Amino acid sequence: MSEARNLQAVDFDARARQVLSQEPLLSAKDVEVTFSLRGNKLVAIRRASLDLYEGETLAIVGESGSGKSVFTKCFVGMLDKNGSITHGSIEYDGMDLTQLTEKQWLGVRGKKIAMVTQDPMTSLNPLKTIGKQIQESVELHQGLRGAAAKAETIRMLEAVGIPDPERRYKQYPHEFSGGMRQRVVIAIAVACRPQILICDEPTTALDVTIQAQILDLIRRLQKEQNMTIIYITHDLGVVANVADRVAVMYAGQVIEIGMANEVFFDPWHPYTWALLSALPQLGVKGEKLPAIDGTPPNLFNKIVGDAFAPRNKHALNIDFLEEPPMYEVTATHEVKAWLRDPRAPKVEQPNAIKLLESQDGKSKGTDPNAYHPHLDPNRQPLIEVKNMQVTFGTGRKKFVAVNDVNFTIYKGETFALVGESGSGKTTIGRALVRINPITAGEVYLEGQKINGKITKAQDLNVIRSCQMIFQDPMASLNERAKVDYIVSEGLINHHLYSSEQERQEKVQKALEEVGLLPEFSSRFPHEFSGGQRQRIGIARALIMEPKFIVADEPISALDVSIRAQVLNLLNDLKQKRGLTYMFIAHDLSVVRFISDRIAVIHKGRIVELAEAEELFLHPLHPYTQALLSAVPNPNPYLERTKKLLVYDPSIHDYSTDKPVWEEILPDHFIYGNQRELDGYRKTLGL
Amino acid sequence: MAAKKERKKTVQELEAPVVNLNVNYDTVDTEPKKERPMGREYPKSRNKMPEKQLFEFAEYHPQDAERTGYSNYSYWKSVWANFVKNKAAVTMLCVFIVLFIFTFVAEWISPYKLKELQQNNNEIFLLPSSEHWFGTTQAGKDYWVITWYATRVSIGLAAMVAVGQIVVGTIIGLIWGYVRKLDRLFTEIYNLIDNIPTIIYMTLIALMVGQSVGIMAVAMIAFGWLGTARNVRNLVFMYRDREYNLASRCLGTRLFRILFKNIFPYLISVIVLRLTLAIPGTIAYETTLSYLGLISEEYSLGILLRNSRDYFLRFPHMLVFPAIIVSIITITFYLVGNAFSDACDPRNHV
Amino acid sequence: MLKYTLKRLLQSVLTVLLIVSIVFLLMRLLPTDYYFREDELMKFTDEQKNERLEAEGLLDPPLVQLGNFFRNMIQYQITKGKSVVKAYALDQYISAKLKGETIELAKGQKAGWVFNLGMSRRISAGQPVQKVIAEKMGVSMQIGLISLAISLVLGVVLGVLQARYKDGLLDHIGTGYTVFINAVPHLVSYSLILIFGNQVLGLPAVYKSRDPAISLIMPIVCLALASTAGYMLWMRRYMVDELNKDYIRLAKLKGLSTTKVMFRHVLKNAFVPLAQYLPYSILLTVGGSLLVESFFAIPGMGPLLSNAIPRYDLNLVQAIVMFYASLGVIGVFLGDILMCLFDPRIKLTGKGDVR
Repeated sequence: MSEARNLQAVDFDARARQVLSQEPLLSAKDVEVTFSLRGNKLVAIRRASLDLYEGETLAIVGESGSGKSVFTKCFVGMLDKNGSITHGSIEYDGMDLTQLTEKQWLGVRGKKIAMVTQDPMTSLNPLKTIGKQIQESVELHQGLRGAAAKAETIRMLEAVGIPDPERRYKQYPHEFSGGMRQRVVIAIAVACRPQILICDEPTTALDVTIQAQILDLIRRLQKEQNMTIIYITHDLGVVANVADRVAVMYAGQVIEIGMANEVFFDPWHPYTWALLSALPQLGVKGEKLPAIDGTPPNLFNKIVGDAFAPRNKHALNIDFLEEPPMYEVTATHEVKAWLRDPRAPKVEQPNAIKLLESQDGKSKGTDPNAYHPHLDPNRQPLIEVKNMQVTFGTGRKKFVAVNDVNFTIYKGETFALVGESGSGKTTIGRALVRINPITAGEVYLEGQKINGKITKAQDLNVIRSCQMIFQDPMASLNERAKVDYIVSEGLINHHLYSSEQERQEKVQKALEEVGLLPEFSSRFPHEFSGGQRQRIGIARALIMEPKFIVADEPISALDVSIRAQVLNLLNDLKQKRGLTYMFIAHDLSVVRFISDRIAVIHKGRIVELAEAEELFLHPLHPYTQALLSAVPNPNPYLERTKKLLVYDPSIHDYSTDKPVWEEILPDHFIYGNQRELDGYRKTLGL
Repeated sequence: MAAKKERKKTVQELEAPVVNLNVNYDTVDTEPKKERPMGREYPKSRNKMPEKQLFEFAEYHPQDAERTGYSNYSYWKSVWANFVKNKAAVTMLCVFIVLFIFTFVAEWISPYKLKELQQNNNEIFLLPSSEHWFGTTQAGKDYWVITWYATRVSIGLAAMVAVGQIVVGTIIGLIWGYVRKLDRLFTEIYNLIDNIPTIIYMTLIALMVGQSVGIMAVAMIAFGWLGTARNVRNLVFMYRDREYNLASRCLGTRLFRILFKNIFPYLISVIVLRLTLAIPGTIAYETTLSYLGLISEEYSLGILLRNSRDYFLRFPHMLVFPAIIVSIITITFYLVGNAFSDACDPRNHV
Repeated sequence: MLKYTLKRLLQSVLTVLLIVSIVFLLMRLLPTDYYFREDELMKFTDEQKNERLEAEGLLDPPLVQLGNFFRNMIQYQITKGKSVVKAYALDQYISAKLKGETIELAKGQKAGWVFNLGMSRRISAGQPVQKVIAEKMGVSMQIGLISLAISLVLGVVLGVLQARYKDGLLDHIGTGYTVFINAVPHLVSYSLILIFGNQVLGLPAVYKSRDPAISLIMPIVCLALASTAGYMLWMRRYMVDELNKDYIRLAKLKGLSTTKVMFRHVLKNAFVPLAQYLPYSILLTVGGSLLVESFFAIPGMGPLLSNAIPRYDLNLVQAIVMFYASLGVIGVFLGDILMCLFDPRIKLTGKGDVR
């Protein structure tokens, strides 16, 4: 797409020419992977093909169950024991990787093709020092021994950005943070000096700021060592950041593959359209996101035709009958969709896709007529938090999770709390619904104090008024209870119904409200998919008829295609019922779409609080700025050229000049000392 | 490059009218249609549809989208299916059931009755025969009747002790795991008891209180709950702060209901495993205690095995019959317990 | 580390003292007749009995007796020949010294510090109980340590092989063996070994003091076979658990062969949880296996307890309990310390926890 603007960073056309001039380095053809589970067969990869060219970064995107991870495991011969490649070939270096014996694999795995695994917390041997674990790679693949191997290991530690490598060499994994461990895992893989490096969601478990650093690191190492990279992820922002080429996988097949700019700006598979359109970054505040209904297919069932057809709003009749072939869009861009057939009706891409290309990342469409409760002159505070402190443990193990936090949530607004893992955002949410006790400070609900000792009637009032939606739909429902019990648990606890019939009616109503069939009430949670389970969790909260709901990262554990459904539902309910939300998230892009005001929290303190657009336009606190700079943008050009800011807490000198919580502009609060506040005022031109 | 181009299909220029796909997006039908059954009429085969129609848009129904990921998995059904697949365990279980019923029938079909057995110096150590099916004892009593009676006693004792241990252990474990304040106290009690071999406590009790079966059963329960309690406690720790329990707390659910509705159901597989393993454990322990003279009971499998010690080198029937029966019982429960525990592991489910 | 060790040690000592106190007080609930030898019981009149009890302080309130028991646990004794002339409790000795008194020794008398837990009254009348225990300990320890060594080596090696060739023939045989040993009461399997050893190999069916080495073969085999099954079971399970962990995947992805992964990564990690119980097992070999020793009539610790109880040798029972309690507590303590050395993750915060 050459009409793209003045871009210095990536020239996809040049890359495309490079790709076309080469023979593939690795070529997977019609690979089929079958798992046998107690007599049942599951076809996880359904004849997928893929070419990899030297020096490129190929991103494979897909939801959970799309087979992206299984597919790449075939390239290193690490399929689980009950899985096998039942068809196809993987050509690499004159060999067919599907035919290698375990002994032959030893010459390929690590040596030629290495892999970075997903979860850094469990990927390192807890009883061996970091140094020894990297050194193992060095000795095995670089042929170094003794002091030379150690020196190389220390060099590797330095290369992956671990400060003080001499000391770190002797330390154990538990002494490292998640981001540092992932650097170690990368060092282990890179120390093998591989030709191909497979990165399997290496940043999914990490915070956005760390993620951005790791992505940079991988890019740098790729250049230094001239590696070819396969990058697996479900996050389109990450894809935009790293990929030269993108392969989209769905239900065990590659359904679209092309240069990154082609897939982002000129996609042709309805699934790719849907994925991109459903991104909250592209949403217009106050409007519905174009969501994809349903869930990815269960691969135990036989799939006829195009696997996406039942969820595809633009499915052709033939989609239900026959699997489409790969159609070529350009020489580097292929699509597996009947819509590209000459006989198919000619269609135009959805608006959102066009919007993506015009995205400049600075301003987003906002409905100008949208109502913002906090701007109402008659705004009424629903929740007030004053000097809240939460600590865990006692004595030497005492840990202050939340420190001196102040904010007010007004009736009818969506108040977002954004921070990284361990920042205390969830603790605040749980403190508001009184799962975690508060150590100091006060919480008021409609002017009445609700922490500490309160009367029984008031207690019931708080339970009914304040409810919570949880992060992980897999963990937040009791697997051993029927949906009926789960949804009506609150009713039963406080006997909020006059007859059994009334209780059942209430359950049915709540289920309908969240878009589930009433008949679901007699089923168990495990029969439902993640999105459906999350809706059951919402119904459980709704049945208490609350005024205020704490939504603790309600979409972060969901598949990309499901997220929009839940966001739409939350927005719908807010309008219908006049709910007030506290929306906890780590992802600023989502928060911008859904919330009226945003509070940024760092290490147990709210450092900045402002109206959503205001925060994006005038981020003042350096931490907010760092967080904003790290947000992945689903536009490859912008994402590649963005400047990453790193926050260093030691810039604050609070030894003499004590910091305060100051309203620097109306409704724009910031935490800082007088000198910093003066600086902030200057940038605002006050 | 040229070779590459040939490999791919090329598409002719499209000439059909352009369809704007944006129209449908904002009018998404999320209300489930109740009147229409699930599943829609899709073309079943290509032949029935002219090609022109094949390339027309199909009707869209959100319910069908919801069904794509549906799974009809049921936990307990899978447990049962997996358990039944373990042929050894199922066979042994059947054998045990027959054996258990037989303990009641045995005396009835025998010419000798337990209550009428008397010392008979003329018939000591008779080998098994049509007269005395299991031979006779050192006192000349019929061993068949004695053995089956002893089996009944041992099974009864084992069942009682196993159930007692599990009930006590589960209750204590639940409280220990859920109530943070009591953790320290229970941990200390646990360590105090666990640091010393149980046999020492048993001997002390035998010394101080008495050696009847009842007392020993209570003692076995009193010191046997530890393992279960710790196991349950660790599991409760695992489940206690799961989000569904936080949700219950948020809804104001009372402690008792959280324990029994939210946590207990997750422990059932472990409790059943513990229960099935406690039975062979108790039987084995009973034989040891009997051997050491800590149980004074006239007949139980342990007592029979102890009594046989002095004679079985010359009169093996004294050992063989109780040993076979005791082995059948213990191996059965051991296999069943492990088979059940395997079956309960979700990783083994489809 | 040092602070934690000291704290844990103190905790262990307190545990032992607590257990001993409980046992001591429980013993005081028994009829006083058990304080006499069987022959004394026959000939003494009630007054004579009372006199003796009073003289020995056995009619004092139980708590006072407990205090005396602890006071006299370490005594400064003056002995002549085999009889004790005078004994100072620790506090008596100190106060005597503070007052400036000198303890004079008459001719032929010896003085020295003695660990005093009372006399055995029935099993070996008149002997200090610690001496009785010391005599019996040797043989128990001998069979215990030998069988432990055998079973540890066999169990660990077989367990590792089972895990390495999981679902192979060896694994199935091994599993069958562990199931049999763990499920069937030991009394039955010991009987089978006895029949085999006695009838086929001609080994003695009971302990013969003339021929201790030969007599000990079967007891050692019995003990070893049983505990080998235990080590096999746990080693296999821990190995399989470890093999399913993420870090093993990364180790394989480095290009290490399966065998290297086994030895460099899995083995140590799987052995750590087993190592925690090692000191406990080693120490308890001293205590002997009650069942095996009784079964083969070995004059070790095992039968001592089961004889002392029916004969109500209270001081001896008390001492044995104290002995086992100390062994157990020390074993657990050493196990915890060992874990800290093996596993760098364990932060030594001194919080009591369940193993």
